[in-house]
Amino acid sequence: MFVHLHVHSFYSMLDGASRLEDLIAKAVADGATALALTDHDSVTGLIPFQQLARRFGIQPIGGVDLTLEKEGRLVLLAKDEQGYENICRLLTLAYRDNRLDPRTTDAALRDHTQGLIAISGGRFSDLSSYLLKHQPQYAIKRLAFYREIFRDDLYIAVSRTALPGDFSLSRTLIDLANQHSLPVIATNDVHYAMSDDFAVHDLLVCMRLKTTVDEMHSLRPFNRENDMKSEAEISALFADYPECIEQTAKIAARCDIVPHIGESLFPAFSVPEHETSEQMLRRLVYEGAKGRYDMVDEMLIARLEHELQIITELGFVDYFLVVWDIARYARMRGIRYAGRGSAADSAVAYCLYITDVDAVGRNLLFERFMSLERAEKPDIDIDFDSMRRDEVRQYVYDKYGENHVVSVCTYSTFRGRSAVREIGKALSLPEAICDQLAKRLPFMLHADQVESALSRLPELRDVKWPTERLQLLFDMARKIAGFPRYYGTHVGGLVISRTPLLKTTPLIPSAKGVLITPFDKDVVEDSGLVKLDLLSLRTMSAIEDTLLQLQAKERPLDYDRIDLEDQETFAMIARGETIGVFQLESPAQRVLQSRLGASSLEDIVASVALIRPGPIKGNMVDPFLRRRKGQEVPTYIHPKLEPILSKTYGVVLFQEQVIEIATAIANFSPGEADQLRRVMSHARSASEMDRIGQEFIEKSVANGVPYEVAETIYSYMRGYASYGFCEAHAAAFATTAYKTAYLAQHMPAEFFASIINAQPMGYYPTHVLLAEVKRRGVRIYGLDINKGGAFACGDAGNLYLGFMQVQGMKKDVAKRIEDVRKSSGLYVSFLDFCVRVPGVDRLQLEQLIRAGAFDALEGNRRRLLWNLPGILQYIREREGFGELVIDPIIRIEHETLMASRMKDFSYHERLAMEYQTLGYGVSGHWMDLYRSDLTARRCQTITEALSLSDGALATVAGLVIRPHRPPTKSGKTVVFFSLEDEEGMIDVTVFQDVYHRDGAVLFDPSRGVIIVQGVIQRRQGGNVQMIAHALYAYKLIMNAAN
Amino acid sequence: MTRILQQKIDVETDGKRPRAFLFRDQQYFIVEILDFWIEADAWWKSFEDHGDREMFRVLTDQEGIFELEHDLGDDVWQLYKVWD
Repeated sequence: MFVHLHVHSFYSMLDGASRLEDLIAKAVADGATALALTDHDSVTGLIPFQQLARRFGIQPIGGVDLTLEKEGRLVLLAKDEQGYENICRLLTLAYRDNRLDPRTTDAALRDHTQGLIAISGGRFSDLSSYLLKHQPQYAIKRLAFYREIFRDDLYIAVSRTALPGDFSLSRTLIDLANQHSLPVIATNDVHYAMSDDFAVHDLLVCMRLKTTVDEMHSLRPFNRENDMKSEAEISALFADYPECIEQTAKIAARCDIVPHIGESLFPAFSVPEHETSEQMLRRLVYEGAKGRYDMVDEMLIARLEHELQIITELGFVDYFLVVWDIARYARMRGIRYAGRGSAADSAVAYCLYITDVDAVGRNLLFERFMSLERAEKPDIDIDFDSMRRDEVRQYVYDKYGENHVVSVCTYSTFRGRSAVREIGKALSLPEAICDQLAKRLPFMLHADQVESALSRLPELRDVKWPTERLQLLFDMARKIAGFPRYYGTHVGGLVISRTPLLKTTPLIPSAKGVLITPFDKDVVEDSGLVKLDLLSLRTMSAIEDTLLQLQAKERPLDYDRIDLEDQETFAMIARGETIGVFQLESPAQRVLQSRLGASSLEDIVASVALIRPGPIKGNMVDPFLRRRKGQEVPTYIHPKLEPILSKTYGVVLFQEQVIEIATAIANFSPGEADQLRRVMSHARSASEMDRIGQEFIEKSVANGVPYEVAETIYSYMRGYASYGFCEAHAAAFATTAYKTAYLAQHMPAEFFASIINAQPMGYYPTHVLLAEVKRRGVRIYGLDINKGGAFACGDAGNLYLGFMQVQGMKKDVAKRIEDVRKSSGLYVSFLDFCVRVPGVDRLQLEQLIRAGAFDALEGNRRRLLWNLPGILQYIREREGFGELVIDPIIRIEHETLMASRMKDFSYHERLAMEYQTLGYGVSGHWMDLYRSDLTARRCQTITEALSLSDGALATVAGLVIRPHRPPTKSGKTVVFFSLEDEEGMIDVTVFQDVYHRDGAVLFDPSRGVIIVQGVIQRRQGGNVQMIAHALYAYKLIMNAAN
Repeated sequence: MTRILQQKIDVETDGKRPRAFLFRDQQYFIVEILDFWIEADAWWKSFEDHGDREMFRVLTDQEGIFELEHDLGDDVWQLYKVWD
């Protein structure tokens, strides 16, 4: 019986060409009983490999293929948990010294041999390398070293993969092994399941070597013999030495299945001596309840006890205590936070101040969050102020120790754009073509959808592509779709372990130097580690910034006591004026708000859930709106549905409602109902859905519900289960959404300044936010070296841009500009500034000049830029730094510089500089430059278009903002975008026929101004949009005219 | 010293391995296969190329060393190289 003991999956990045599924499938097809996984310097795949292998009756063997410090590689297999831990330690050490090229030293090997089997001798081992170079003395030395440290756990591998020199190498290795009484095994250094996948492997190697398929490279694979050969094929290759096949089975018999998974590794929370964890949790919950509720009545107690019982029975008491402690720390330090997700279904989480949603008051179902039937780890996500989230993380590291806390990994895979660029390069396609294709592909397109995008998308259709190599590109993109490409740090995932982490995972440094586990969030939890999500939300930072600005101006606001029924705020939301508002600022949301006319927090909760692909495709939005406005009366096919669905006017909107329906109609327990919901939302086939449906109907009938009624109700649930939003999550977001709307309404200058400071965030870029705040009557002041601060700030109707808005500005420089001015007075000249604020490099000075920061002081930007080198030279000499080597013509006295008469930049040029440096035109708007020509061509301004009646024809021009193609209920392509001119913004809809004819211009990065001809549509509530009949690139019209 | 010839030849095999070949009207019997390897085809030029190639470095009864190439796609043999 033969076992493949040297196998690479796609977790050997840019090398292994097979998914784990493919490797297991091949092993099963060949009748294998065991299989090893030994990726290059990685154990990332071991847990999913183990789970998959066991499911198909294959014994998984965990190992690694290590790159050695001096030369060659060494394969290690773990015999037991100690062996696995040693692999984790070896990898940790290797990556610590060089995360991009990890290598294992002899010293490290020597200290970490227990529980390991070592296999040397494969083609890329150090042994083989020395033998091929005719340096047998070094090979013998290496053998002696391995013999000394691994003793009876050392094997010599021979692979016969038809490479030049294999014949003699094979014989020499066998002779060497026999001379030293070492067992020999057959391996094949598998890099792909089937030989047909060789091309993928070769392509990945070309990418890794940064070469192309047309170029020769000594490290490119020679042939397609590194496939997972069957036992018959291997036996034929080693017919002269059958013992080396039998040895593989003997090794497999020596290996336990590692790592051991399933046991929870969550730490116990340190409680006072007189209390158990359960007692402490109970105490904290009831203390919190007294603060949260006016009265702790029987109903509340029943709810809390119900939750505590489930939490205790599932063994997550310590988990809640850990999260409570983290939230407590944040509160103590004044760090703004909000729990989100299904945790808001928990009254316990509310009483512990983890979330801010009253689950009892909203009648939210705890079982959506946790249930005995599901028996899974709870998932509590908390959003923190992005500026201070790292303080919270550091607290966790300090409290639990660095050996017990680590960040979680995330893998980027080959997607459409990256796949096109990298594959195209390796296939020697011209860079310009790859770039053009990549830029035009939709952002999140999967690699296997590239080819279909070419025929589907008008912006790709008209380009001439070279067909043969392009077809190869598409084929390869399809094959490597989903292959891991890079690893990075998960945004907020943190793992705390009871046992030292190295027993479970290596610790490797990310690009930013943070130690991460190479397991992603799913694998981490399968390993028994419990993940917390300590996320950072820039909206939290923006809220905090707003409050600090108000405090500085002696207008403090208690955010937690904001009136949740402020009519002015709801009126603003109902007008769809929600640019800048958390969760409500997209065009779709703004249209919804104008139709909905929200008048309570409940309406906002529903809004968050409504504008999502599911309800839109499922045609839920219009019925909801009609019923909400009393234009239609909700009907309930069964009276038990009314109390569940009345808050959403008869429409199933929330996952909790699906659970409640299953409970009320079919008498499921809440836990069973949540299981049903989850199975329905992940069902892979129609037959599976039918089976679930049958169970539901049978139970409903048994509960006294007529069969036809039960069948109809199931059909509703079947449609909703896959898209329903978690109500608790919507409620958590809705509170923040409303409060940011309040800030936008009542203190727009401060609020918009804060969201500009927190960029990038939200839906719109800075210039749209500034246009919006200007529309609200706030006056915007551009940069002024003698007035502005490092950051944008607002002050009762005025917004002052900050130096950090300048592209390329460093924070310490921006702060220094402000600090020096405050401490020693206003700057009297540009030279004065340069002298008093040293260390501002030339690029930043140029940017400040171009942004207009010195306009009030010096007035002439061109003159300043022209004289800048001379001024810098003057300062260097003044400070004794010696002379720069510059053109003597520029080297003139300062007084002469300032006196020279040089005409400043034109308005056009100044505006272009401001857009370039600030992303915004302070002097005016880009459209100012074209208005007279556009007017001559009968183009209206957006203000004029907005005043037209419903159905009127309009022609407008402007800049395209955020074109996107969301899924629609009809399945047809509809593009939405906003069009901005100097007076305002209008939302535009482009239906499929127009999109196919004219839509290419929307996604062309070089489009510039576009002209839209169409019809005005005025919706209820005052929202105005345009339906496009035609789109033109303005520059093409100008070129034609010229 | 080696010379690259790349000449088509007739080869007698045992089904898998070459046993003898005819070159310039002379029969050469293979005494030993000194080395064997396979070179993958240029898969990215699939419309041009033929298939993988087996390469045999052989010692003949006349003590000559030759490299024989067997194109697996076309099943064509050629004398690739001779070692002088």
